[in-house]
Amino acid sequence: MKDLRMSPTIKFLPLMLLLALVLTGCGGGPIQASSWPGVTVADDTLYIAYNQYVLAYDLETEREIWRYPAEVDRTQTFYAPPAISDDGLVIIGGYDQKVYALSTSSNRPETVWVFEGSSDRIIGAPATNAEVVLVPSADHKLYALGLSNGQPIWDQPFESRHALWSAPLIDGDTVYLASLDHSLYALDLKSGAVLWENDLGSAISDTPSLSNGLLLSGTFEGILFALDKESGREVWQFDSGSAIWGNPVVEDDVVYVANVGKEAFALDLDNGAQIWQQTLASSASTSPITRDELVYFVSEEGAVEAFQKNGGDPAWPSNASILGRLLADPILVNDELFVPVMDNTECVVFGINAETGSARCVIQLDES
Amino acid sequence: MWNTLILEPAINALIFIYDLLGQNFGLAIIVFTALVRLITLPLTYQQMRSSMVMADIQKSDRFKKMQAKYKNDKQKMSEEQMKLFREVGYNPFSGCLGLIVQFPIIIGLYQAIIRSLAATPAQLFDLSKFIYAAIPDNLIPLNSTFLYMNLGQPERLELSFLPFAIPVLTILVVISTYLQTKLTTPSSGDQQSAQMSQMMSLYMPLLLGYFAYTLASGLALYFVTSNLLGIVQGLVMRRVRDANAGPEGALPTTKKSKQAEKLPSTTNKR
Repeated sequence: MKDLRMSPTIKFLPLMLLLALVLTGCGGGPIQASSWPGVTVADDTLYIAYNQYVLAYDLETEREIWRYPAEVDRTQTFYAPPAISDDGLVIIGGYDQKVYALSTSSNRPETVWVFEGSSDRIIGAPATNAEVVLVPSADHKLYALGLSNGQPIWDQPFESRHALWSAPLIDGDTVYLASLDHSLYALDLKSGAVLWENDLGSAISDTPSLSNGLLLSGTFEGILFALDKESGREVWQFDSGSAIWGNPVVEDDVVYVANVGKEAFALDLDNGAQIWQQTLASSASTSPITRDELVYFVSEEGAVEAFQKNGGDPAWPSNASILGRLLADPILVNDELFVPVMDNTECVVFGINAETGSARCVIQLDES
Repeated sequence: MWNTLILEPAINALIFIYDLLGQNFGLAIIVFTALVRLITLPLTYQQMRSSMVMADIQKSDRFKKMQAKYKNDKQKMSEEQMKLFREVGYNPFSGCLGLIVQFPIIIGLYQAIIRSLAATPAQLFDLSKFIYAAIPDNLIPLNSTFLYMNLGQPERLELSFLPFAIPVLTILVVISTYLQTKLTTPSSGDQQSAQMSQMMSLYMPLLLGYFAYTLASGLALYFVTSNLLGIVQGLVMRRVRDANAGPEGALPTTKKSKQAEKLPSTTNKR
C-alpha cells in the first residue's frame, strides 16, 4: 500500500511545475510569432519581416537574396514592414526597440546606422523620402531621422497619447499620422509641429489613405471618416457597424473597405454613400486591393475573395483558401497577390493568381 | 469552453473595472486580483486549514511514536496513519479540491491580464473578439501606463543618480513570495516535508521573480498584489490556529473529531 502522507508541498509541486510551464510557454526552440508578418515589395524584391528575421526574396528568380540577421538572435524580432529608400537603403524596425538601416548593394546586408532612441518596440512601418526616415514607436513617439546617418532631425520627437502602430504618410511637407490615442494628426515634416489634430472617438490602427484631398481613416468603433487634408475637418463619415483595422483603398472615386464584422463595402468617395455591400468569409483586418475590374479582400480564416468592382458580385467560382491566419495586408505584383500568413507551419507567403484565385506557396517557413 | 467560461468573463470583468476606475489598468489589476482572492477565499481557507491540520498531526506525539514503531513496515505505517486520520476526522485529500479549483482561476487570471494588455497588433485583434458588446469599443487598446511603469513591458526604475535601473517589482515579488510561502506552509514535524517546504520557499520566489523580471510588469503587479493578500490571509489563519491550539504534542481537533466525541459510543452499549 502506498504511503498516504501527502504534505502540502508535495501536493502543490506538480501544480507549480505545470504553472511554470504554462507561463513560460515551455521555452527552447524558435520563438513563437507574436504578430503577423510585415511585407514590402520594391523592384521585384519582396521584403518580409517575420519573427527572428528580415528576409529579401527575389520574385523573378524565386530565391532568397539575404536575411538579417545572418544568425538567429533571440533578443531580436521583427514584424514592422521594412521601408525601402530610393537609393536602396532598407530601414527596419525591431521589437528590440532599435531601427536598422541596411545597405543591400551586395547580397550581404551591411548595417549603415542603428537608431537606439526609442524606449519601446517598433511595430509600425517606417516611412521615408529622399532625406528623412519617420519611425513610429510604441513609446508613443514619432522619430524623424536623417536618412543618411540616422540622427534625429526634429528638436523633440512628436509625442501622442498612446502607441503608434501604423506607418506615417508623407505628402509633400506634411506628415499624416494615425494613433491608437484616437486622433489623426497632421505634422510639419520639417519641425514635427502639429498642424491640426482630429479626435475620431476610438483607436486608429492603420495609415490613412489619401485621395482627392480627402484623408480616409477607419476606427475601432467601425466608423470610416473622410477628413479634409488641409484643415482636418470631417467631410463625411460612414458607420460600418464593426471595427475597421485595414485602411481603405480608393479607385475611380470609389472607396473599398472591410471590417472585423465580415463585411466589405464600396462607398462613394464624394459623400460616403454605400454603393454595395458583401459578406466576407471571416473577419478582415487588412486593406483591399484593386486590379482591373476586380477588388480583392483577404480575411482572417484563410479566405481570399474577389468581387466585381461594378456591382460587387463574386468574381471567382470559389474562394482561394489558405491554412493559417491572414491578418497582414496583401501586395499585388503583376498578376499575383502576395498574401502573408501567420500560424501556418509550412508557408509564410502565398501567391494567389489574380485571374483564377489558385494558391501556391511562395516562401516556405524553413526559408524564413 | 475555456474561453467562454473563464477567459472571456475574466477579460471583460477586468476591462469593466478598468473603466470604472478611471481607465487605470494598474488599479484594475489590483482590484480584480483582490476580488478573485475574495471569491476563492473558501477554497483557500479549506486548503490552508488542511495543511495546518496535517502539520499538527505530524508534530503530535502519537504520530512520532507511530513513525518510530513502524519505520520498517511501510504498509502497516500507512494503515495506522489512515486509522489516525479517521480518528481525528482529517481527510488527506481535502486540500486538493481547493488547489484543483484554484488552478484554472490562476491561469485564467494570468491570461486575462496578458491578453488585455495586448502588446502586439495580433494580440489586440484577438482581444477585440473577446470583448462583450456592452463594453465600449473606444476603451481598447487599454492605457497600460501605471505610475512610472508600462504594464506591458518588464518594469525597471531609473534614477538619475544611479548608473543602473532597479527592478523594484521583481524585488517585491521575490520578498512577498518568500513571506507568503513561509506563512502558508506550516512547519512540519516530518523531516521530508520540512525539506520540501524549505526548497519551495527558496524556489518559488526565484521562479516568480524570474517571471517578474522578464515578462510584462502587469503580471508582476498581479503577483505582488496576490502575495500581499496571501500574507494577510496567512497571518489571520495562523492567529486563528494559535488561538485554538491544544497542548504541545496533542492531536489537532477538527469539526468531525469534536462531533465524534459528542456521540455516544455504540460499542459501550453492547
